[in-house]
Amino acid sequence: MFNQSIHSLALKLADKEFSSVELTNYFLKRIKAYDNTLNSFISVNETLALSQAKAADLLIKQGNYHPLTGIPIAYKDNFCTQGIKTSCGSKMLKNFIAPYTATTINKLNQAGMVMLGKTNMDEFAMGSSNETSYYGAVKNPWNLKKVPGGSSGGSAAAVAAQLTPCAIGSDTGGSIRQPAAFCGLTGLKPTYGRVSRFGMVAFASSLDQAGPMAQSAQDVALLLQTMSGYDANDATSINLPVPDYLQNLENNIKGKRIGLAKEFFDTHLNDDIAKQVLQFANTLKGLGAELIDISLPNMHQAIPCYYIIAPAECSSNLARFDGIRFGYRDENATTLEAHYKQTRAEGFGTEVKRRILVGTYVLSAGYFDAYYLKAQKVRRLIKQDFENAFKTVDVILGPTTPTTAFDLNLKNQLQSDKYLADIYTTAINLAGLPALSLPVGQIDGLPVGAQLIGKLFDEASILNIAHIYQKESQHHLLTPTLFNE
Amino acid sequence: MSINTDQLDYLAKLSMLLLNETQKKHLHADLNDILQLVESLKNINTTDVEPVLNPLDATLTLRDDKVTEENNREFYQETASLSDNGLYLVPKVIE
Repeated sequence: MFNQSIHSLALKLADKEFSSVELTNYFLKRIKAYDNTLNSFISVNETLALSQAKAADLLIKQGNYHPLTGIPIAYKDNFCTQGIKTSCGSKMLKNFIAPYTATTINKLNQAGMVMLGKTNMDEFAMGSSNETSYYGAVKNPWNLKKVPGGSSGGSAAAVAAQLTPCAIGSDTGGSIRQPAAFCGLTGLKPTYGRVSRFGMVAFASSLDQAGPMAQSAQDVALLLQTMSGYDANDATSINLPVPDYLQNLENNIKGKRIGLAKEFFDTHLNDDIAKQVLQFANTLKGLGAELIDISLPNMHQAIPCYYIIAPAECSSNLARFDGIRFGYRDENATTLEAHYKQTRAEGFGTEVKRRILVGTYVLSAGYFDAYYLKAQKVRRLIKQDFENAFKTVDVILGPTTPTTAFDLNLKNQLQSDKYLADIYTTAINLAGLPALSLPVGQIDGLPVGAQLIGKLFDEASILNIAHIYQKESQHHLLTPTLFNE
Repeated sequence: MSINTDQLDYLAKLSMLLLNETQKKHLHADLNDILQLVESLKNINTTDVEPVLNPLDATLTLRDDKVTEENNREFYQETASLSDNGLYLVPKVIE
């Protein structure tokens, strides 16, 4: 059961090599053995998981099952799960029992997946290291002194250490792709509107997307196939048919035009990462793809643009946390205003407060035009750069992160420097495009990720290229020795 | 562009966040650092550029004006820490 893809586990379940109950118990045991070290889970639902596994075994016995039936999975704790704590990694929701289940999770439940638990995350998805969580930092299974990335750090660490074969995360500025890169996983942020956001606690509504994290592009495709599709409950969900991602995986990549943007290979990028990403590109060339130099002239405006728009939207979205209808409440306030101010001061951590204050500033009277409106216009320029590039290429390739996983507890770092960790990921969210990160090498025992960016709703092309590469390479099969059997 | 402490107080009031003096000091420095990071946007020419409201330029989907949900007030109100007879309870607002 160790280090098996979902695809392989599904075949073994179908062959009755083991049952879903046995498989679920296997991962529950590993969580008990190793998660004290990693802190990747906020809650583990043993009873529910085993009852779901039992139900899955019955479906498999009856011959009435889906490729994902009986496969265990973990969900980032910003997805509402009815009857189960949904904390968003925050004190504000530490006792919040969700009254309904997110559409994405409903779809995976209907396919017969088994929920092991809810994973740790940066508070309200704000962060790139999983250090802002109320439940404490998550460690990188490849090196316990390093961060796993964020904000889906718990999901990434749990899959990398094989505490679960797959997980779901969310990505607003890189929060699936960056931890996937730091932990040696394949993680995908779908096109905006591809996957329903209903029941996924909102951070920045024009940027957020849910996405799968697993060992391989094939596994990611399997999950995406089930997660995707129109949802009338999400006003931003797009009503377009979902292609057959699995059927397209094996397509020949001969003649695929792959763009290499010079802006991705700038002075921020570690030289060794640049070498490995370019090696990845050359491997694809060897498999028949064509490499084409392109430019995304406004790409370096993505960070300033994102750090205006995301905080603005977060300040609006987090206004709902006032201690009245749900969440943490300051019991000592004697006036309504004191209630709001004290509840929010006590319930939110520092990074969340920082972003709410920045967001409030850029939306306030007298500053809205200079900041928020300006950022929305620069966002158009960034979007247009990609549209222009996609006239001559099918897919764009670049690094996911400027460095490998950095140290936990870095002291005396400027906020602006921390935010630069997202330098290669945020432009993609601003443009609404799909992007995938996959492991392409290692430096000093730490994984290196490369990014494939597709046209709107062309997840099929980036999954196809990643899968063809993974048939030739072994990087995605490596696991950290500390957690080996 | 940087903000002064009066402006920070105003933002904290708008955001309904109570900040102590130590928090104010750190957040003040952080905010000015972040505002410095985003300053470069001012130099970008955006004449005649349409702002992005939705990354797909999608417009809002409308539906028929029909009631489709059931009233589940009691169930959904279970998440409130203080409620009574369908009402959410707050500190007194009227003297």
